[in-house]
Amino acid sequence: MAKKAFEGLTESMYYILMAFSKEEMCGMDVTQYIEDKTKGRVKIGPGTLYTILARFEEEKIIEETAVEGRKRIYRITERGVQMYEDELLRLKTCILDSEEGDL
Amino acid sequence: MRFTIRLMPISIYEITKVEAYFSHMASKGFFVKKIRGNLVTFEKGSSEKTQYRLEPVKNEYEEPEQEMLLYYEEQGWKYICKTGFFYLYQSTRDNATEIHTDPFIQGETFAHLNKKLQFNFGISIVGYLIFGGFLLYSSFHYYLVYFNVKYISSVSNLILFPLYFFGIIKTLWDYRKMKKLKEQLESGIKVIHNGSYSPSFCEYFVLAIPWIFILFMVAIPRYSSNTYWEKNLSAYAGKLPTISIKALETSPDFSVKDSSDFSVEYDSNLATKFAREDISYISYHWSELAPDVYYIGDQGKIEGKESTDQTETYEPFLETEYYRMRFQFLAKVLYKELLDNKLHRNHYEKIQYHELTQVEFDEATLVLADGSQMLFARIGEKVVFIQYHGQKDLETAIDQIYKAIIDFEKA
Repeated sequence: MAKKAFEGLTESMYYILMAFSKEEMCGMDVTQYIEDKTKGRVKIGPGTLYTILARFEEEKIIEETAVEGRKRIYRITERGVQMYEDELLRLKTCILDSEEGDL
Repeated sequence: MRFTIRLMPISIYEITKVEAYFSHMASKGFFVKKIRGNLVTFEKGSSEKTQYRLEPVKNEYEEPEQEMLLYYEEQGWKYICKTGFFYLYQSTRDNATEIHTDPFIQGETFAHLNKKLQFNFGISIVGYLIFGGFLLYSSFHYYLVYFNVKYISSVSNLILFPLYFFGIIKTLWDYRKMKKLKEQLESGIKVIHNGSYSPSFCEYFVLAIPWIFILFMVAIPRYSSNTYWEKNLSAYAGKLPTISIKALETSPDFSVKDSSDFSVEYDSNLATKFAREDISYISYHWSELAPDVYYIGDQGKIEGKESTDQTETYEPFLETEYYRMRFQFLAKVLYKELLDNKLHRNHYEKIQYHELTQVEFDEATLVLADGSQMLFARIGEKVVFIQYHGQKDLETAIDQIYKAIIDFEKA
């Protein structure tokens, strides 16, 4: 069944939130950050990046802070931080569940 | 710079095939510059390995945002043009990151397109019901064959019906295809961009169907009006598919009315304009259902002899409608429709039918309606309607009429 937006973050959404949780940045910096962080395992295509940024801004998960030429700089909002921390906790719980083994 | 315009052999909604077609053209040195409907303008250059991607638009009335173009350019994708509900991007970089790396997010980009296609389908259904219903009602409620051969345009209009139906099926097909693609993406299945494309004339043929219909719609009325002619009967030297009024009116004082009987000075253009009402005439036209249609009016007078309405001049007239239909079954339908149309349209007070069985026609009916005598007859694919206003008996001339039609056919 198709996943509804923001019921759970996709891998791309999660890494984009992770990038913004570190500092304010533009879209291209986000792509570079993710590529470095995952050592090239996760690549974010331009269509995916633009669509996610547009949706995050619409849902007030990130907000624009400056415009430099054609570049727009964004920062994460409190709602975005909460969303990122919730997802991080969920993923950690998943890993703990898996490491604890069967009861 | 050299530009070439080509008809796109694939529907734009066959996304991966369209991308493969553009790549195939680029490998031959033709690069897409713009797309208008199904026409693609290519610019000739040196052949180069090129990838293309079609992306659904967020708003079909706007160009892509600058921020968006920046991301695409940085990753090797150049914006080419907008076509309908899609943006087209091109990349010649081998290492260009795929535009969409997350199928779930890509699925979201199809949301607007799907809504639009769903709306278009709904509108086309409503339009089809209203327009198609009106078209069918107007075509079949009235006398279908008779109106077609008399007024020519109806069959051409009927071509709109399958054309419109074709449009609806295509809208539904496109909508379902995009809906399926969106569902596939939202389930996490990526689009595979190695769709193969091989040129096929069959696809061109399917795309040409609406144009063939439209061409027929334009050409048929034009051809029909070009073949139309009308003359004064006195100037016509050929055979007629009917008898002359003189075959009925045998009095030595009888004379045929012609242009000299006009109360105004004779003018050939005016005579043509008023021929149907005032003098003897013959006209011909062609229609797709009846390749030969003749209307003949034959009018005469006997000075001093009273007519039925007690006026001093007795002016009998004989009008003939002759139809050679394309097929015999059409002639049978026309025969019945003529009988119905001619008698009910004029609201006669008293109608007497006399079916003629002892004659050589395949079908024949003599009708006396108020003061008018009418003959409806059919031989094979030929149908004739004759109306006589006069004091003689039309039935006495039935055999002569049959002979005139047979002789006309031989001529």
